[in-house]
Amino acid sequence: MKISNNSIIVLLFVAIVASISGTFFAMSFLNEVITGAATTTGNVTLTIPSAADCSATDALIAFGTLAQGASNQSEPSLDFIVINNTGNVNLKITAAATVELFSTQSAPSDFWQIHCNNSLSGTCNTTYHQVHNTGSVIVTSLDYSDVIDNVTIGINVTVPAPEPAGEKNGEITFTCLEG
Amino acid sequence: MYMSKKKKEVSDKLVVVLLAVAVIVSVLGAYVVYDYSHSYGIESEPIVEDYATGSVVLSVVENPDFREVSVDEDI
Repeated sequence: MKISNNSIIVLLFVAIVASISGTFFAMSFLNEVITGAATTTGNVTLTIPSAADCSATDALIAFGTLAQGASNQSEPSLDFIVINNTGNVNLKITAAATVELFSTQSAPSDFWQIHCNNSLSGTCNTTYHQVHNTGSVIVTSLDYSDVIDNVTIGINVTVPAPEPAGEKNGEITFTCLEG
Repeated sequence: MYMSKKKKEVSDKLVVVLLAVAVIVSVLGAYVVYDYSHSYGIESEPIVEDYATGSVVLSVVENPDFREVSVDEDI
């Protein structure tokens, strides 16, 4: 069956009209979804969503070798965990033990303590206290602005007398919420 | 006498030109939509909570002062 040129022309017109209509339909749909399009006067309004975001720039404290009953803390060796506010809101950071450090003493105990050594902004809880399973407040109102968005966290450990010899690895999860 | 009216046929050249126009319009439309949708960030949900992890490592060695004395050793 041979299709005449006239029929092809009609079909092409339909295709062009459908294409243009589809473009306008998609544009009008995006107008409803997107906020922040420029107005005719050149003003642009943008909605930036809030983000409570944080990351550990130094996530490890290594105390080396300790004998049973011995203690050590971050301050003498200046070995701290450093958390950075990478979001765009002030943060309240809490710390909770997620992997036990010692096999003979479960958190919370005086054998594994934590505190806020220094924060470049906000309120730093500088008192050494037990690392809890449910979380304890380390810092509040940690600013998100660069240069003042870091907090250094210190750890104080005492090896329980009956703790078996060997490598110990405890893990602390820091929860960052707006606050 | 019956005269059949002959229908005027559009030339092949015009068909090709119109086909090219259709393709250009279609591609241009797709580009406009793509560009418009990528010019501005589509609103996303706020992030209300995030997590970071820290570790504490140490090596424990036996302390002779805490060594348990067995009953046999005292005898």
